[in-house]
Amino acid sequence: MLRVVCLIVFGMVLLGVVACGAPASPASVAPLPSVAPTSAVVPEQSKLGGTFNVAAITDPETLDLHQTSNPVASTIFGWIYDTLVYQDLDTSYKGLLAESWSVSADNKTLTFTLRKGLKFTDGSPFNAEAVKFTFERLKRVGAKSPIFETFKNVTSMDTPDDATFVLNMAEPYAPIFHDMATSYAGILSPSAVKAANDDIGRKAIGTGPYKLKEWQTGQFITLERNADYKQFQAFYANKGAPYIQELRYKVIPEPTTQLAALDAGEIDLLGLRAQDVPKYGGDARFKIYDSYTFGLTYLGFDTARKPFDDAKVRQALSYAVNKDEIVQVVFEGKLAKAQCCPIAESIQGYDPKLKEFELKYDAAKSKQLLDGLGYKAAANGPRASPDGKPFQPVLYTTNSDTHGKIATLLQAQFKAVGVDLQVKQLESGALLAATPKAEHDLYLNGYSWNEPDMFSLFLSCDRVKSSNRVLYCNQDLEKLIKAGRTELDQAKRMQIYVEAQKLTMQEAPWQPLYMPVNKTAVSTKIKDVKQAQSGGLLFHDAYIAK
Amino acid sequence: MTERAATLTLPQLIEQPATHRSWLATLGRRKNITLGGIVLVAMIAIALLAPLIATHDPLKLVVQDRLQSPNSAHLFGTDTQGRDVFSRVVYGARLSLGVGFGVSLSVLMVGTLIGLLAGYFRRLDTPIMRVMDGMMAFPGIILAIAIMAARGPKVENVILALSIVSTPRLARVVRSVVLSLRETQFIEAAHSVGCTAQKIIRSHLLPNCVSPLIVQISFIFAEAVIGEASLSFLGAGAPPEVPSWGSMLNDSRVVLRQAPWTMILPGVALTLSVFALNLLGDGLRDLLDPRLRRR
Amino acid sequence: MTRYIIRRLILAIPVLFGVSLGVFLMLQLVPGDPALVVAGDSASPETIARIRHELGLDQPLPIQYLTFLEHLLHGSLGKSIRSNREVMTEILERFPYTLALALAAVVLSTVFGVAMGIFAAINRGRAADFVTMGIAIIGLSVPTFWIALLLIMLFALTLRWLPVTGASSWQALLMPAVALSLHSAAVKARITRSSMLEVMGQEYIRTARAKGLRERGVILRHALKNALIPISTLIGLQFGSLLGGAFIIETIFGWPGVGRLAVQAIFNRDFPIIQGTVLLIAVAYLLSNLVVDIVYGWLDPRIRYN
Repeated sequence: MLRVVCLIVFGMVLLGVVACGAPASPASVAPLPSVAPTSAVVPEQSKLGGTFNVAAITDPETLDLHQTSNPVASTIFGWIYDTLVYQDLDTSYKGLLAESWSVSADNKTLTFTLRKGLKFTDGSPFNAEAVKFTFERLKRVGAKSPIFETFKNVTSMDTPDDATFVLNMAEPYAPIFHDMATSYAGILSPSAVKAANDDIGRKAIGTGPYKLKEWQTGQFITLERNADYKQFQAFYANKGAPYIQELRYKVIPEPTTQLAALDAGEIDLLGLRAQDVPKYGGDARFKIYDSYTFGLTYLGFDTARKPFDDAKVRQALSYAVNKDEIVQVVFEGKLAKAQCCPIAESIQGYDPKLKEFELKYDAAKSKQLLDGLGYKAAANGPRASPDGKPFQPVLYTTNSDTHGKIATLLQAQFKAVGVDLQVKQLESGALLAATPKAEHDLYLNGYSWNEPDMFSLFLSCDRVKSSNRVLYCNQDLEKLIKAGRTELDQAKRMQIYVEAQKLTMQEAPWQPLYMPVNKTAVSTKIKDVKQAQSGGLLFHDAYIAK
Repeated sequence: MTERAATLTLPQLIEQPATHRSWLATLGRRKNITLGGIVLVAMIAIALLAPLIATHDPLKLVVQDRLQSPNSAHLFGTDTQGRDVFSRVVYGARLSLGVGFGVSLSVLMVGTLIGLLAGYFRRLDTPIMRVMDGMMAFPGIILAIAIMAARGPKVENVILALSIVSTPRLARVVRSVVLSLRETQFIEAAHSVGCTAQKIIRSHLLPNCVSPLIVQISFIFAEAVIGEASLSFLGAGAPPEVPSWGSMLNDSRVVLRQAPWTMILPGVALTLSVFALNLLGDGLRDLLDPRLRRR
Repeated sequence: MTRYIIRRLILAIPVLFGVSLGVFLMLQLVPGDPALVVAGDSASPETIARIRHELGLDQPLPIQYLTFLEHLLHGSLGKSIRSNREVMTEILERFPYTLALALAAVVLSTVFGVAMGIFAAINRGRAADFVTMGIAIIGLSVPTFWIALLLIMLFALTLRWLPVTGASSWQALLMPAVALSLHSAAVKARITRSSMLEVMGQEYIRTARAKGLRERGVILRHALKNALIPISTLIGLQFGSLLGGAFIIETIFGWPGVGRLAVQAIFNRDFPIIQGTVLLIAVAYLLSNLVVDIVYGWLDPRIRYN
């Protein structure tokens, strides 16, 4: 859902912790136990009130829905705005602001029937005009929004009546429902936008369960319960307004300070780091929730550069990577799960059958393949290239602590097969600028995208000069990517992604490493917290014990 | 590092009574040099002999030994990745002192040259000094971070960044010495017997700058040590594989509560080095540069 | 006097221009296209190009700089790339916090620094002098960020006397202010001591003593008053640098001031914010220098401006 570079620290603290937009839960993921409602029935009235305090690692910078991809902002959008559709626990998409919809025969036109009688929190009515206004604004000013690309495909929008909204696309586009279910696709109040002269960075008004109350820059943001709210998401028992009176996001940039704040009761929810899990796991004041993240971290090869344009070299080095060791050492076996396949197991399209194609850790095989390719080692020294020059591939990665640790470990793992791996850590802004120039040999980073169409972002030919950081371009894969984007039949579509993954795993532009796992401590004062199958926390039924 | 700026814009003001110099006080000053010198030499020895002194490989990750409190195997415990804190601090001396020497040397060369040019050639004075003013008005840490971002995490770049930040100050000191000498009789005499500018600078002005330079350099050295640690602390310093006191302190931030020992030794080492350099600077100023003291 | 001030202010203008040009050129050297950082990991080349266009980054460099100057003439520092708000608004919103922190640090460091300096001067040559000055030189040598970590560990994590979050109470201000003041307190202690000693050796102090004034009165009424001249200068200069110099402290304590804004802006490649904060800091530096010079002349009539 978040499209920012997968900064691990950010991820742990913010990702999916407070479910923003709709949670996804692929069928293949074993359901985590969801929390049973407390046995004693608590009367509705006594559930009302209280403040729920959450740590945010940064300010959201702006709350202009169309002009940011900031992770804190995206979480807050989930509270303030509602979307037309949401993803239910069974991964299907259902109507939220839309009651229902139909798809035309050529799969290019979507006609939404909207719910009637809903109001924005400024009192203006929700209708088809508001939806059209919102998406037109997105097309106009939304270049910084993660779903901007999706709406480039939208050619026109119609509003035959107040309750009907028609979306016309240039070509069929399967991921559109996913994109429309993210919090970035919330619906704005046109009257509020006009009143603010289009400057809505601090004036967010939607139809959501909470409304913006106060924002002290660099300190906190307070959201206040929308008493008129009606809940349409099927998995909630509470069909009305939320019980918790206020949500407060406190900006606390330091992990140590965040922990101290959790201990002191200044915040009620925090994503934990591995070393803190044992301590809080045994603390009766907190309950620890596990949740998967939508994405994974991979080791990529710059396939535009010799000798990594040769799949055999990529495969040989892929065998040298010990993912389990990375998960054990860097994440203490807790905050990550090793991944076989390009699509993480938290995302639709993952298929455990693909495991047989994984280039599993096998140092002997790696050595043997490297020998066979002519990378011979001098006595005890590192291997040299077939042309006799030293073989010292350079790994580029961000300067995050986690990536630094993984890079150090990879150095040791490569050394074990005689390869002298060099590491260059760049600040993420500089890294993004460096990779399209193909300065790197290897690349270590993550993606964060809850849709199998991540292929078109990170491994397609037309992204070679931008987000395809391994500069991989394969016409066979290209065909599969195109087919996956336009196929609206779910079963057929997922089969396409199985093929795409198989191809990628054999060609090895990526060696998938691990999926980050969140461990979130939530104060036990907060009752009736629900959990999606992917682990995302759902708070609409929750209340604060008095 | 920026917090220190105020001191250094005021080198003339700092310290030292001119009168009432009892033998005790004089001895005290000599003690400054002795103590500072001993600590500094010890630090240099530690840096040079690091492989002999360190008990462990400073880079080796031993996962099962993560965050051990001080014990007989690890005198000062281990860090988040099971590396020996003591050994890393020992190796960290190489980076800190190396950067200190590098910065001192380059600032000495470039700063002196700029100061001489500005002080001696009237026409160059204003433009050069305006540029120096601008550089001093520029927040040093931002400049340093930007240079590091532009050139990547390498030790050479740390030296470059910190040198650029420190150069204007030294240039100012040299300029003021040259200015005060320019009008004196012996320079005029040198002029009148037809000495070239180069000759006058080399054999008359430069020697007079030596004392203030030595004093300034000891402070610039101290600044550079703190500067390197600050940059590494912010994650914009030396590459991660080089043990650095600053990055050790940065790493310790996340385990402040579970493993306070990870922050003690690097901080002590850092303080001790800067302390020695400050003592040395004080002592040297007193010994070499009575002129600065009186103004 | 007025003419002197005006002349100094006029002289500051080219320096500020130089600084603004310097930041501008520096930012060009920093790798990492702001558009790329804003657009994120998965944006298409067309979208990145579009953002570059929206931000004016597709213009030739001289034009970009002229645009910046044009905005400046209209009293605007441009808009933040990340928040879309006026840079001036962003800075003004954080400035009170930085100001509060700097003021608190100056007050703390002056009280403790001057007291230590007087104490050392009175006990010149004795053990108390050496101990006090030893403490001062240690204070000068301890890195601020290490002290900050020690304070957090002791007062927030172990003793739990002080809050770890928030910036709206005096308790929250305490730790960052103490950490920030340590270094300047040490400098003040050293200067107070030497300045006191110098003054106490002067003729008029001896006269005062000869008149039979008590030592306490001599020190407070005569010596301290004159010794304060260099100290007041120092306070001004330190205040100027504290205003722009609390980057690390603000970052460690999560203090919502200008320093943290600037550091974040560098990592976010928010060029207009970097430009704005650097200019602000340069102005603070130049102004504090000017004020110091004026106050110096006022306190010490022997100094004449021309």
